[in-house]
Amino acid sequence: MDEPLSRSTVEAFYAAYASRDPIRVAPFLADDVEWHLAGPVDLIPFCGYRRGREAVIDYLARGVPSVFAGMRFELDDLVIEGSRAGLFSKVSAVQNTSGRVIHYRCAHFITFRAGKVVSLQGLSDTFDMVEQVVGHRIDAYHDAQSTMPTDLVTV
Amino acid sequence: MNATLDHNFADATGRVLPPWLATYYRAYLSRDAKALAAVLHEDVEWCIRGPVDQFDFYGVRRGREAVIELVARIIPCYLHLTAFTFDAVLIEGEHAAVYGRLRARQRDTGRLICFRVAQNLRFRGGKLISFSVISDTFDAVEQMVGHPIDVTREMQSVPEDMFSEL
Repeated sequence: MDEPLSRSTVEAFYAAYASRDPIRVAPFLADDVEWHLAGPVDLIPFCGYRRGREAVIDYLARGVPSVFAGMRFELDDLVIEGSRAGLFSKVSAVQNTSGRVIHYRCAHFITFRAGKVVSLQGLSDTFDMVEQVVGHRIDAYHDAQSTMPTDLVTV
Repeated sequence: MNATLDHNFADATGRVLPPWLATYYRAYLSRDAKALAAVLHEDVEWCIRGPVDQFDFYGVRRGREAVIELVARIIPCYLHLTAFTFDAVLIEGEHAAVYGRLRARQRDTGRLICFRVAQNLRFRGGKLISFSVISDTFDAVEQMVGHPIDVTREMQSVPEDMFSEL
């Protein structure tokens, strides 16, 4: 049975995660870590599912920095039970293409084994995130299909 | 229509929720105003993060009556909850973090909606004092509007000439 997860371990991992420094993060990741951030992958490429330490390191070192720079987490709340932690945070980052400062809320549910992350499930207010990424408020009711061209040729 | 109640209220590991948390979720999922009044603190603060200008059940509510109005009367105008699955439940004292899946049927269209939520709950003396939800709102909104969202389409402001005669 794992020893209880300490707040200091969780905070140390979160600080390493926020740094995006693969050298700091790697020691916290299990070989078979599963990592999932829910969100529209076509709009926010670092969303999606990754498996294994190397894939997660790549996501941290290249995936996220390709979209956002200077990412910071401000921890709002933390619940720890056994070997699992639930974290609720504010994230701020600078969008590379526009220089816009992006702020959004996220939640992470993390399972540790012997002090290493074996699973991270992340949720964010992705509608808010996407609006900030595209730089304007989005009319969700407008059907994307209605903007497709209608002059198709039948053969 | 009320949510289908899992009377065991167990998470994915099979751990049954403690009675104070199960009682809250039973009231929340039932949408019954009396049951909700019994589990909400008078000064409860409630926040469902999301596009409040597109769906008015998102946003912040303060106080028991405002939250009952939202849960028992406003949300059912949009969605009938059919099930809530507890994938992870973490408890520290009177603080709980819940990661789960909410299933609902959209009232206007009959569409089935399913999306993941992360809920942060604080209780005081057994009553909910603080509740906040984070979800993949882009996915949730796409399901509710029933089509992919065109992110190039900017929300139009009210034309200035609408107010010219005021």
